[in-house]
Amino acid sequence: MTQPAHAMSLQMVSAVSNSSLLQPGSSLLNFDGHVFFFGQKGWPKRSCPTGVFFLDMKQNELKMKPAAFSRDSCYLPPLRYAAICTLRGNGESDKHQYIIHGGKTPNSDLSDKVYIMSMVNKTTKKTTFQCIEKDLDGDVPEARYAHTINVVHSRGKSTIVIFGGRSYIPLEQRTTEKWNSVVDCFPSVFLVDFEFGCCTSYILPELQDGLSFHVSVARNDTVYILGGHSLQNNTRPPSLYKLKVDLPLGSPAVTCSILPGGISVSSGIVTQTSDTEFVLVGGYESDNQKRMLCNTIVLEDDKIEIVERASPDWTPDIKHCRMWFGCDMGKGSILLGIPGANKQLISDANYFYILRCNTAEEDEEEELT
Amino acid sequence: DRELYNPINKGGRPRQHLLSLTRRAQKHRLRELKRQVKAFAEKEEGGDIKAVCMTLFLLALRAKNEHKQADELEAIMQGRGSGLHPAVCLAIRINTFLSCSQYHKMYRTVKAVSGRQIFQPLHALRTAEKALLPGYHPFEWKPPLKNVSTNTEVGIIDGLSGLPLSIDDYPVDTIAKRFRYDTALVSALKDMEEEILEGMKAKNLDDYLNGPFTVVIKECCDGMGDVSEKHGSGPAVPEKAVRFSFTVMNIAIDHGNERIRIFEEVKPNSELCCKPLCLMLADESDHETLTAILSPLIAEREAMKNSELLLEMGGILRTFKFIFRGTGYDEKLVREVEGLEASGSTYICTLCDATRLEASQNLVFHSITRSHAENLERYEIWRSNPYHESVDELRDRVKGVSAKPFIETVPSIDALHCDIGNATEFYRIFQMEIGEVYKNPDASKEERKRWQLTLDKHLRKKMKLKPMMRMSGNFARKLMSKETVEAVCELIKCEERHEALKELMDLYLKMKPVWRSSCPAKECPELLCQYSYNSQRFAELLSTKFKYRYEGKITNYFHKTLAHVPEIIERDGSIGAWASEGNESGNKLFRRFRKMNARQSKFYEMEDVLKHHWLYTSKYLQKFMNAHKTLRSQGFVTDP
Ligand SMILES: [Zn+2]
Repeated sequence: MTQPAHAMSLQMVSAVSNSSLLQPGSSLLNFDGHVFFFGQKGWPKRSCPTGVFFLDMKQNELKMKPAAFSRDSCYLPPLRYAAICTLRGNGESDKHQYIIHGGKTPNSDLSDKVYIMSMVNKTTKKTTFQCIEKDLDGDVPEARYAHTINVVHSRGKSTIVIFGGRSYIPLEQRTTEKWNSVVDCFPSVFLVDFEFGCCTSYILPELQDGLSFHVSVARNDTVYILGGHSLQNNTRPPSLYKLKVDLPLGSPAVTCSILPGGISVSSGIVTQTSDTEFVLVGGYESDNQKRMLCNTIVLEDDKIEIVERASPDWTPDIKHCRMWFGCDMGKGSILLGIPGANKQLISDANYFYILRCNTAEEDEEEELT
Repeated sequence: DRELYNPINKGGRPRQHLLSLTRRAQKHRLRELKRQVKAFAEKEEGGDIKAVCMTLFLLALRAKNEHKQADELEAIMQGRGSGLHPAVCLAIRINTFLSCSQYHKMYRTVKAVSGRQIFQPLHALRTAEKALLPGYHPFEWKPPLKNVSTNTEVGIIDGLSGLPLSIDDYPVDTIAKRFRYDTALVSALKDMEEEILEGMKAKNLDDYLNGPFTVVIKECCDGMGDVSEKHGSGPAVPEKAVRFSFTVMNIAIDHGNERIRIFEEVKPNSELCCKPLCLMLADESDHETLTAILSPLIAEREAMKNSELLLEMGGILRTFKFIFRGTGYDEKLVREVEGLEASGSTYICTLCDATRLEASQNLVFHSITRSHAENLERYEIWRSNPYHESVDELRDRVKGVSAKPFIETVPSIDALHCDIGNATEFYRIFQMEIGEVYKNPDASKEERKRWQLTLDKHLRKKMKLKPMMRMSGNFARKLMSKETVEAVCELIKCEERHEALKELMDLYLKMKPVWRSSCPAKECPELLCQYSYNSQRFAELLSTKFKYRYEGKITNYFHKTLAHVPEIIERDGSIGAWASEGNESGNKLFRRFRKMNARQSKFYEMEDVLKHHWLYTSKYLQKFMNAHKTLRSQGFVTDP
């Protein structure tokens, strides 16, 4: 390959079956290099009662194949703008699960539930998942969307960190004329004990404004919160927060520090390209300005470095559209969508591209293409 | 005395009716009377001949108990000289789909030509319409409505209800306008104040003050399909529309141990009483948009269920309770909003849990078991799968409820679509009879196509029925007749099949009035009594003579027709009255208002359509319009 190691490749997906199910706010899950789709438009239909699909890429064609749930699963609703992260198992390094929190249901309700999704069986014909609802207890984060969830490790223990997002106005203040109005959630940091589902919240003086559609990356005991949108001030503060979690024998401790070098971006998409390296793509600089720049985020022990990197050659239709959306496919790839010109045609609802950020490690992606 | 007024009959010509004479001849014939009236007026009424004549006329009307006409005439006379009452002008403008500027032009022309101000200026109409639109009359809820603002001066509001429009959030491809549900109900009640008071008088309850009035509301919601009307700037929105509307069906007072009806809508399926509440440019199957727009309305409705309205009626503060019955939904939308699988599902019924197979094995005996509350419970079971079941076991446990319901509907039969659905089935049966499927079931696609062509050709020739892409109400009505079945029989050789087919149609035609009429107990009592018998015989025919089609299978509407009609009639008194036809015929109004009366802008047009449609359903305006029409037909008012 003559391409430089940092170049990104942008490939149009020529045809997507059921593409109208893919919508802004959907999520992708990567299990062993296989990509699965979650968060469809509308409620699941008979043809796929789980609402989870295997994304089968063959020669630029994306086929969505229904996935099944095991008997001990619950049938979670499709959730838009849910917070999602992976949770690695202790034993086999390959085994991992996805944690899904919050999100908007097709009924425009907000979810306050946590679901754990793991793959139990995969054959060429059928994939089976286990989806478990995790009961929460204590200081439970209110139903929300456009927030983030991460897993941190400290002193051999792990915990879940939930931050930010939006929610509807509290029920006692909510009136029907403004029924759909949303507000920033109070910017407390929630720790959720994975084993017992016990939640505790922390109010940190450094976190003054609510934040949503931000980016979060985690390493060891630290979560970095980058960018986002603050509804109250209608700003995209170029902030970078470092949340450090300590898990001693007694009660956990969270500290926050404000770091320089943040970026003003909302709805940015992050994919991990190596153990320490992430790529940030997409999102918005302002309400009418897409962010066309890309960044590399390097996390080393107790240190974060954000540098600009060469953007892919954006196609004219990407350059000119007002909105775009997408999600991390895992392993350094991102699925990007732009609205089609004709909304009336379901087949033309959205156009899709796959952006590969680590072309240096092409071998690993063989399974995807 | 009599001698004096002996009719003068000059020249032996037959005497013509006074009203049919020319003005000159009328003058001539009444000249003596006029002289006397003039003398009387000068002596007793300061020379006001007009007042004397008018009073005489009104008294004559009232003497014959024509109070309504007298009232209206009085109102018209009081409205500035010989001009029309502003409400009449408004009614004319709305009814004839005149835009404000068109009306203004007419007003100016008439004024210039006749020298009189017959029509009222636009501002007078605006004042009149203000009082008819929601947000005008003050009211109060006890206890105050949960999650509803206490401000009563609320007119047309944005149907998005604060839906975030920021670029990061989910894109909103709709424009929606609505009334707040409670203000709309108040406006509807005030609009029919006169009917309510008259109804009380008729039941000798005019001094009835205390206790709540119970108001029963029919709710309808339907997608309008393609409404494309290429104009206006603004965001790209779907060229499909959805309307949520309601009808005041009846009002009753609990008096002693009795519930006495003081108002009952006589034409519950007319577009004239189907009041629009919410309009949106959206596809009804866009669940995210539908729920975002309708959820606040539903929240208002749920709040009103637990509260009483305090409203002045006939000068006295009275209380009203509301019962909401969502029956005006087609099956597709019922399934969409109640969380059921789409209509091709094996769970074929929105009223009971029967599967297609169960329903085909037992055609007649099923009872209504589904309810909104149970649908909600079943969704939660589906979501949580508490018994760790496989997808098929779980699906069977929840009987196909796999989405969370968000609107409470009343399990019923949509009479119009029932007709259409059943006619579609008869149309297929006709084809299969032509192809003698009872003998040779394995026909190729081409053969089946040929049967259809034969049928279409014959129906066109004999019944003047043009083949249609989609079955319509009109086609269904014509198809489901004795004449059609006789025509079809001409294409079928076997005498025995003729008999079966004719009997099937005959039974159907005996069953249909029962679910179509607004009050079957009054309109077709015998057929109502025979319904169970007829439906059983119909079922018997299906499972014997038409076994080739109905073994292990049954269509959704045949099932509802055969299994659920008597129970619903017993519960509601009628199926037809609770249908969605008023809403359906409102669709053509939507198109007309949008074309004729709305500003050509995507942002404003929905508002204009909603306003005009609302005024169109005003009983107050309809009364003025009717009075005007009557007077015009009697020659009292001249159309310019
Ligand atoms: Zn049934």
